[in-house]
Amino acid sequence: MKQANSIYLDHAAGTFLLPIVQDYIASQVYKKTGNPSSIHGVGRLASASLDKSRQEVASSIGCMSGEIIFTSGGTEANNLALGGIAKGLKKQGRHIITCRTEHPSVLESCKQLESEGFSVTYLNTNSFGRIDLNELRASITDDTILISLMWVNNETGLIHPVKDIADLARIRNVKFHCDAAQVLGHLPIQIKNLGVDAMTFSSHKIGAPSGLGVLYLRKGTVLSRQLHGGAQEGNLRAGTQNLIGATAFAKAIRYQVDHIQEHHGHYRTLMDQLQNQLSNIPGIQINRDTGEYSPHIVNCSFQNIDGEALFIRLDMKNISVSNGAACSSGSQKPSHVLTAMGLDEKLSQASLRISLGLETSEDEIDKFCHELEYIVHSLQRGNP
Amino acid sequence: MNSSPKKVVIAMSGGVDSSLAARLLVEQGYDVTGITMKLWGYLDTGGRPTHDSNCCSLDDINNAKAECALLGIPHYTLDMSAEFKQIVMDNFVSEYKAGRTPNPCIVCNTEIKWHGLLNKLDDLGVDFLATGHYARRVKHERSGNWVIGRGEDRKKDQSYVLWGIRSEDLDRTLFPLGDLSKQEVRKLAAAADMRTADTPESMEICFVPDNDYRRFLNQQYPEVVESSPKGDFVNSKGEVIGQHQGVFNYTVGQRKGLGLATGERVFINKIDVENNVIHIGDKKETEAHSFIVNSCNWLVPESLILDRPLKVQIRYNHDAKPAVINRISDEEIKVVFENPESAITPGQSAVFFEGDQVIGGGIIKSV
Repeated sequence: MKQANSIYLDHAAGTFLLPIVQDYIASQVYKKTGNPSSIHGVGRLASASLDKSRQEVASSIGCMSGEIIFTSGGTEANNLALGGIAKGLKKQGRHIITCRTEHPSVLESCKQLESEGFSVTYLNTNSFGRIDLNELRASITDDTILISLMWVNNETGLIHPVKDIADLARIRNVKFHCDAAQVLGHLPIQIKNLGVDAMTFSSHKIGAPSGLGVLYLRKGTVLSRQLHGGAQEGNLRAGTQNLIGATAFAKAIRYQVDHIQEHHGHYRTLMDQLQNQLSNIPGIQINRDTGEYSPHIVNCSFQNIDGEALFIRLDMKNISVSNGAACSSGSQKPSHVLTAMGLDEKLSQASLRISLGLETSEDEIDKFCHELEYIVHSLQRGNP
Repeated sequence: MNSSPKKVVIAMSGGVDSSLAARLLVEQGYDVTGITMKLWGYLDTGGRPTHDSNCCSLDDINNAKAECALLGIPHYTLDMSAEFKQIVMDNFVSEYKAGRTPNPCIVCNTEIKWHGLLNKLDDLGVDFLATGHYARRVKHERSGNWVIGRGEDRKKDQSYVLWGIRSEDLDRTLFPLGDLSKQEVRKLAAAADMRTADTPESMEICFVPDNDYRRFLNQQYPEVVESSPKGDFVNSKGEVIGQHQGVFNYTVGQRKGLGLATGERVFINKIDVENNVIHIGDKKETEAHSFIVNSCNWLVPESLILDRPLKVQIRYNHDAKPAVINRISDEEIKVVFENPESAITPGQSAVFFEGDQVIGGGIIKSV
């Protein structure tokens, strides 16, 4: 179905495998690998290999290898952080603070905790998705045990002031979990300088295969295990590890961190070009203020057009972008992030998230913008 | 096709008929795109959420998606639930409230599947809309217009529910299954190893999956039920012979479930909402020679139809009978049968046939 002239601008949803990851996986296909928990020689080899990957992840992001928990993905890491920390600390309090624009894996975990007797404050944002630190400060009570706020928003690219939030949390003796699924490869990261207690990473956002996640958990943080079974991952996450996946993920993290300067320049240049060209399309609204954004995501909306038609017309031209959060049936629901920012239903449905990758070229941005302008123009005419 | 292939959207429910129709269109060389309309969710309907013979469940959408993936064609899901609620479900309820017996599939075909979808498809530059209905698009000789022919498989023929398609919409319609029998469809689907080959038949109203419209009204529209008080059953002599439970529970021609012990076979022959009275009679008394139709749709110029012998079908399982039709006002026409017909039911559709061709239709207003 995919043609050679397709343009893929949905890297915030999923990336293609990095060449070094492709090579690594290819090299593993015919190898004989055992279970890292087995105590025989084959198992010990697997275990050593897993430890090496854990060490690689830890040194790449600036923490200790004992602080890395491998999971089945970002969603599981978020579930583990929210459920695990809240339940681990329930004797100290039962109040959690998050924000309306978080990823569903955080919001749904909070809903679940509410049904189990916890209370949750969902911070509002301004019309660009920014939270007010004073409001956050004012929301903290003696009962508050956990704050969960993302670093880079997956739909708008907006950056939350993670360091400030971490400082605030530490002063009030509240744990801080941060979903950083969109961060690696886009922002420099040294966890020990940030002061967060837990942080989520996801494999398929950075050129590794999907199905791997990492939860960084600061040493000494209480966590109640959420999967029951074996004593893997420091007895915090049961289940045999995905050894090839974890190693591929570790290699991708190392690669992204080592090349951050060079990649940042690539993204910055393309994003400037993209924003510049987008701003020439009549009726467009770019959902950004002058504050900080990750250089790989931009979100924009179009007045007076049918969002479903826009999306389908782009797809018919083999252009892959995202229209916010698609529901499981594939039909378009207005994005909860844009709705929280105050966009009405029609405008949030006529919105696109465009996200860049390492393979994206200036030529693709140019073609995309021309095609988009043509389609938007024809839909606006057909829909006065 | 010499130039680039025509673009066709096939409306897919996730069942065998529309899935095979998609396959046939691809084989015929069209540039095909599958669309599944999300029309309602179980929150709006109640009923049997695990029942799988109706569209709009995730399974059905996934079936349609999977068939398209095998065919190598794109598939999209369009959320038309707001339109469906407003145009089809609310109309269904208000018709019952008014003592009529609606046919929501016809409203859905006319306003959602054809008019609503074609409007959307205009934005996508599509040439044709196709569906898996058992009907044909044929030329009407005297006018040269496209009209609807009965499906080859008379047992499955669905031309009756398609009379409302606007003439300009029919110009852009394809029915790939019109020349096939259901048996052939299943055979072809099985031969192509399609996962939908054995999907069950959908018989009931899609948003009333348990086939219990009274339960649906009670659960989803309790205010309508509450505002429809009990009243009298009255016989042809004007005598009160029992109590009815609110007019929305009944249909003209109904015999069972009346709760009357008259000792003879009696039928509902009229529902009088204004006086909240339901008239009962024997079979003979439900018969009528003529009735009034409004909300008409013509597929050929009206002048070619009026005052000429035709056949008129008054419900889905009815053999069209000889009649003539004539106009009595701007909004209304009168249908006069050659012989009396029983249970002519307000709210149902009267469909006008010339031979085996649907040339128009309307809603039965009164008898």
